[in-house]
Amino acid sequence: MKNLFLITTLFFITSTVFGQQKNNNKYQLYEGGEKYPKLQRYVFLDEENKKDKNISNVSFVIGGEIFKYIASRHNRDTVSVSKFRDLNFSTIEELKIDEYQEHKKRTKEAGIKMPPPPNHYNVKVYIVEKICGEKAIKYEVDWLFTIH
Amino acid sequence: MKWYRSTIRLYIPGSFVPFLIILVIAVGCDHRITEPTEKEQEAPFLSSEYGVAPLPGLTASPSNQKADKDENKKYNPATISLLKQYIASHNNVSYAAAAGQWNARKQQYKYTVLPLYFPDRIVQAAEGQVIYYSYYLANATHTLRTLQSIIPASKEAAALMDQWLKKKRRRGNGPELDSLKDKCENDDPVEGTCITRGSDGEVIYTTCGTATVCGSSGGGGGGSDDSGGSGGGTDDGWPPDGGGTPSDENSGGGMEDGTGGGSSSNPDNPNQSEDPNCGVQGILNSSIPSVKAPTEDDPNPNAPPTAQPCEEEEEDSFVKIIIDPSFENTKAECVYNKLKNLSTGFAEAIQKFDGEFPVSHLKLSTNNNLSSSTYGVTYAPENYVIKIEYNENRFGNISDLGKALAITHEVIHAEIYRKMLSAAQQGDLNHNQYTTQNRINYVNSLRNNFPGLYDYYWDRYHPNWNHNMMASHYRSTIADMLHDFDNGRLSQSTYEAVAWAGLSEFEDGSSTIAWQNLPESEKQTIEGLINNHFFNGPSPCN
Repeated sequence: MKNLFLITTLFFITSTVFGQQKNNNKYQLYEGGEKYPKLQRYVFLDEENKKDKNISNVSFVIGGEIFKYIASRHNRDTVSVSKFRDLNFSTIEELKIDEYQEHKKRTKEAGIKMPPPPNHYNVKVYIVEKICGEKAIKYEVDWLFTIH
Repeated sequence: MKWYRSTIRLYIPGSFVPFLIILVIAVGCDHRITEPTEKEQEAPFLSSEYGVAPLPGLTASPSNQKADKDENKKYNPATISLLKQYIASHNNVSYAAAAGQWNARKQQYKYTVLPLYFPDRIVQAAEGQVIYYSYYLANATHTLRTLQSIIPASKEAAALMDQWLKKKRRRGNGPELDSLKDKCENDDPVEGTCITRGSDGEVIYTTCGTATVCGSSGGGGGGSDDSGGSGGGTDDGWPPDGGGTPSDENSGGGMEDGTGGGSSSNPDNPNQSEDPNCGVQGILNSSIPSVKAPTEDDPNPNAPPTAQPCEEEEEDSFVKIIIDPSFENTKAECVYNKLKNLSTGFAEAIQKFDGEFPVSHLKLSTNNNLSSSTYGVTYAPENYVIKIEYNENRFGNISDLGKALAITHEVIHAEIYRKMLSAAQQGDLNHNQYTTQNRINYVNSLRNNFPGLYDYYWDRYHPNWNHNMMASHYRSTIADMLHDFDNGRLSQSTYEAVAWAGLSEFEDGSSTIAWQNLPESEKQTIEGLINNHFFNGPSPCN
């Protein structure tokens, strides 16, 4: 009975975790509405940008925008510099334009008039930081919504 | 990696169901989990002790936010008991409410009692029966407010209470109101609140005598103002130049008056103050008045006893402006404190977050890792909190006037968010996560209460809508604040020019529409004045 309970719990946790990851890659215009895949964009962290690191979180400030990696929620992976061409890095301005165009496209398709909510809801951002030689780290991050 | 994840996703849901069933059974068999908790073992409060059973639906909080489902927590027997004793000790009072404000630090409620009056037909229809009506309000910091009351046993009375707490109030002069007002002013020797419905169906209330907590503040009612704004209806006043579409977002006031519902805290607090003269106990321990003639020392001897605030309670009993430790003893805090003491709009704007029933909270902090060209940022609301971060490093390079401008600029962003939250009646503005009904309510409320804001944000959205609105409608307010902050050291036109900082051109090359419409020569003059006074000038806060 104990083993069964443990296995059940393990499966429950696993499915919850993967289920959340799956949902993280999709967005909705409204609760119960159609699910669309989030745009995936890569931003390169150069020397001018700021990085603030503590034990569990890393904050990136790029072009005035704030991105946050939270260890308990996000993935972090190494990536080879030779793969950079495939990543097709975006600037912050391009991110903003793409995000807005995606919003306009989907709301038009759905026949809904609504402005974008203040939460960067339709784009998934990865920050790529070159660490040494051929190696880089790819951080999955939250793009925090701020006004200056 | 991708393959592995997708395989798990495909197979887990199907296989998960039997496991879930087993899990539920396993948990259900565990006697320790199903054993009644201490709270469940408490003797339930019997409504028959005080009147008829609560009407169906009455127990629900007026707002659906965080409403607690536990019926046992709906009523606080101790408070109801106190109210009943209060009513029994006042010959002319049949219904009353106790408004409680939770002091998290002291772990106790501060209560104030006010009598309630209802139209005669409602009182007669109740045939002397009463019901108790509860209202809870929780916020992001889990500080709670509660209104426990005894009212006529009537759905209409309950509906009036709902609307009284929830909806904006308007003056009205229906015959029913007139007679009640007359009754309040002439017949009843105590202060209190009359609640009735005007000829147009609007809920009207009249506060008699000195305002009490419930009679003068948002959630519990408030002076009878036309604005229907927050608590005292001050929403109309800031900024003062915001008239006409698209700037008339200031009209209407709002819904932020303490609707919100609540969490359900059990106001039975074991840690209540032992001081017999403060808190709820103070109400009971105060002398029971007989009708006395007014004297010079006591012009209102027949006023009902209200709980006296416990020591230090007035100062910080309910934290609404949250000062992060990083903000303390900084240049930003130095300027912020000076701004707060001004008589102009800044203090009023800040008070919106610091009112009796604020719709959201303002958190002030500093972050030296912000972009080197950024003086401050305002985060989108999250769980009723709007956070502002100032770049203390950058504050070292600008005048105090520049700092005051940066602080004001971000507080205006926060003020705009606060209005949006009040329309949304949610803890955030992520309307893509709202239900359809909540989204419809949000849009309608935005349009009805803040038409200018609706126009800029919803109807004619532009990515830079926030700065466009500020540039067109808030600059005069900013200039006035700067003038007061700087004791009029410079000309008004200089303050108006400096107010353009942050509202003209941006790093990405974009600019506000108002700035684009300025002649080139004027732009150059303004830029010169900004350079002279934003960066240079007195800086005693450095």
